[in-house]
Amino acid sequence: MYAEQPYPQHRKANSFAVRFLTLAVVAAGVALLWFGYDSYTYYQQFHLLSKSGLEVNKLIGEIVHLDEVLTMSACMAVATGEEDWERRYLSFEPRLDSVLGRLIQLAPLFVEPSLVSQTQTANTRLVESEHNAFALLKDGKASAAMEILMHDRYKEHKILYRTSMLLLASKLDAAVTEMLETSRQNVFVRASLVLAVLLFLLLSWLAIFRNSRKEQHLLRRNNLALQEMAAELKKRSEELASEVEQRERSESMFRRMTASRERKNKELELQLHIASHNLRSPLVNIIGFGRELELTCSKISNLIDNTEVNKEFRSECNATLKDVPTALSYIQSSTAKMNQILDGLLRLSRLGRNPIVKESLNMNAMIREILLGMQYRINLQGVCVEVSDLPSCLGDAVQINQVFSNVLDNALKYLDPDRPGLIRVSGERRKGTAYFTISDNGIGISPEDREKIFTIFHRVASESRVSGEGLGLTIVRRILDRHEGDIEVRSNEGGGSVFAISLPAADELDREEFVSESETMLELAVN
Amino acid sequence: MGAGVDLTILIADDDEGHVYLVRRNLERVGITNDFLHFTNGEALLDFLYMRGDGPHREAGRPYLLLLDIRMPRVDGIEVLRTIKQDPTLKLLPVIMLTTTDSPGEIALCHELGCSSYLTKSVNYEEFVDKIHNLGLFLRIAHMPTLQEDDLRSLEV
Repeated sequence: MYAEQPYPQHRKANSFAVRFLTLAVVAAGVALLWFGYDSYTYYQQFHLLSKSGLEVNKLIGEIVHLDEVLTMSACMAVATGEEDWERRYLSFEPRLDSVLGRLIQLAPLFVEPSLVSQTQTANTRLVESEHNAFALLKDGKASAAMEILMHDRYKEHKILYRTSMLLLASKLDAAVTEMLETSRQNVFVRASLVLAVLLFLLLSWLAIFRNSRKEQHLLRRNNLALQEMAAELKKRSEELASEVEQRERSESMFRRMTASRERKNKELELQLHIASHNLRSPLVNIIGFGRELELTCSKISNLIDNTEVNKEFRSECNATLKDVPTALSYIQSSTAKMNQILDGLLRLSRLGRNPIVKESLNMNAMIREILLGMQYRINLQGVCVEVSDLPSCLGDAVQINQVFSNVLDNALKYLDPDRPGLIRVSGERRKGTAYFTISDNGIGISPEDREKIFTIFHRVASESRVSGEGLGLTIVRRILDRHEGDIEVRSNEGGGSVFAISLPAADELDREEFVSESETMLELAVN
Repeated sequence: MGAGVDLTILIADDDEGHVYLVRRNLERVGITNDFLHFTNGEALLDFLYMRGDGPHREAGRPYLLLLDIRMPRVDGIEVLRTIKQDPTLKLLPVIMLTTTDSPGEIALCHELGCSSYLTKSVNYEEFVDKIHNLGLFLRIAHMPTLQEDDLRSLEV
């Protein structure tokens, strides 16, 4: 459900691809720039060359033509002796010069300069010869002029000049062709290079694309996982919130219930108190008038005894009155029992109304004191009582004394007559609570009795020999309830009982003080 | 006889049986004084304050009050409080005679100014003993009369 961390690796791969692509883009940019610049330069050069080449061709043609015209004009002037030819010659001569000058200017682009200077030299010689011929003609030496123009040297120069021209033209052609070839090759190389760069670019783009696709996929997956997690989290937090709410609700309910229970307890205790008192009044009458009746009956009995009456009547009277003491003794014992119950109820009802004065209690001293009060019974029954060191606790001195008195009293009461009694009192302090254990090897409590022993007037049915009103543990539990303490019983029938009492622990500091103080008190009491 | 024959014993108790038993046992120790029985606190207060249709207190006569706590209308505690706050009536000796033995109520009655507190014990021997002792006490004690003059003289 959760991505198992492939992300960093992908990221690495991707960063490599990105670097690759960046490199490719830069390389492609450089290559294209270079290619563009190169192409432009070539184009410029090529353009210049082709333009110059064309011009050179034209110039050569023109030169050849002008040369023909000049040679012809010179020959005609010499042959005819007409001055027009000479004028024609002179008018064309500067044109040839300018064309030649232009050629000389352009020539180094295509051919070696020597060729040009050779051509020029030939031309200069020809022009020189022709000027010489014109000078001779003016002097009337037409034949001498003819001689110059027909001379082999003149012809030789003429040939040389023409050859040079042709050579120049062919060289020019070759140069242009070569240049074209080179540029074609260059273009090919450059195009391949650019193509390679483009391929490189494409590859890296593909790599990145693939990676990004992968990453996107991963991201989507992670995103889904995240969404799932978020949903889960939201669900959990909602659950938690509802749980907290539930808990708060139940806590407030618990508080309300505790308060209402406390209130009901108080109410019940008050009712119990009033009821017990109201029951006492009639009880006083029952007992009182019972005794009055007894007195009356004995008076009657005396009267009959001391009066002269018929014997039969006397014996009948005595037989009748004989039942009265029995009846009265039953009334008495029953009312005594009833009174005991009412006393217990009153005591119980008073518990809730007595304020609790909490103080730190030295339990070692308290238990010793209680046992001192029971010493007579302990000795009589031959019971062994073991008390280990006890933690101090917080509580009302009188009420806590009552708790331990009642439990110890029970332990003594319910010992097994078939074996020597053993009662152990121990305690320990854990996290702000003092735990006390009172165990005995008495008759124990059956599982079904274990909870009932704390209810009012409950007495272990099997033990009729033991006297009691069935209130001791009810009072114990009530007191512990009010002290935020608890009592529970663990027992095996026949194997004795263990009563575990817990109470809020007192601060240890107070205890030291208490030990010394109460020990002195105890000593005084013993003395 | 310290109490004198003119002493009237007032007894406020809603239980006729109790009244009978108390009277019977007092008579046994020779207390034969007049008894006036009230079944509730209101009737008693009417008598003391000399109002209503019932019997009225006579000024200058000595009285002793045996007072129960649980009574209808006005209970014993309220009666005691009223008596002890009244400048004239506060001289009336009040002996609480009740079934209630709760330490809180006993302390309250003493605080309010009762002369003595007797519990109507369910144990009849105890009950009889207490009443007998009361009777013996009544035979020797001198009860004040409830008169404004006496009150003044007493206060001096």
